[in-house]
Amino acid sequence: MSLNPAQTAFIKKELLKKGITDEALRDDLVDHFCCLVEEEMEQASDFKNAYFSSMKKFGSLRGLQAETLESIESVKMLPKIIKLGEFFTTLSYLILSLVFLIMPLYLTLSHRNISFLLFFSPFVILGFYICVKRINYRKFEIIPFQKSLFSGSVVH
Amino acid sequence: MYIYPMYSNELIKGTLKTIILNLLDENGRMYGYEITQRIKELSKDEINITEGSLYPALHGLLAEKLLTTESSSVNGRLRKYYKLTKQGKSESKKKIEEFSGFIIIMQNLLNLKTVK
Repeated sequence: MSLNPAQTAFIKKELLKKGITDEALRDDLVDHFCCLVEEEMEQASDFKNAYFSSMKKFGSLRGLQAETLESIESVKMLPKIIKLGEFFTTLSYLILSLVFLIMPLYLTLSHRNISFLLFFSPFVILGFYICVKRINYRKFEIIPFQKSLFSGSVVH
Repeated sequence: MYIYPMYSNELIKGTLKTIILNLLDENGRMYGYEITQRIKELSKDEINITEGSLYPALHGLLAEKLLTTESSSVNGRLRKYYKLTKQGKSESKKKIEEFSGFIIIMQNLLNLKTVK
């Protein structure tokens, strides 16, 4: 036995009243709940009894919504944390490479015995260049390696 | 209470995503209520997944981009069908392989007899 549009609309309204505000979840639950009510009505039950009997089978609706949103958020959070970690590592390298660029230059002027440190300067400069190109300064993000080094602009 | 009757929530919750991915791999596309009924049927009424555990898992898999949805109108209401993405198909195989390896280890670990 199929529910009529008025009965479906009633269920939709009730789910909203019971706190299911997330539209994607509500669409799922309306169909799920309607299926349960239809199954109950197959056993010679009227809509009202079938509705209350099905509602008893549902657990806490707010809890369900909270758990669903939490599950989505936990998936979204992980790449964000990784991106943020990568951003700060690159930024730290940028600052450190600046220090290590200036320090040998300054020291070799006064201490000739450590002038070998200048040998590392090209590598530090290369690292510095890569880091500068890989940061998206507007979004606080790291630009993918190939895109960052072979595209023209730094800020996208 | 989300999952009942005879297996603990923790035991089934850990494998629910694998079950869903495998069902969708075998059946193409399914809607929420259909998934619960299929699990009930295949487990001979031993595992009853309720909406309280099904939808967090389904929406989590959607966020992971392992599933996608197709909507159609059934009896005047919207019905969302879930199906695997390309990434979901390979993840499904990976999870099943991982789980079968886990079962073998548990059989050895708990000294269980192989189920025939």
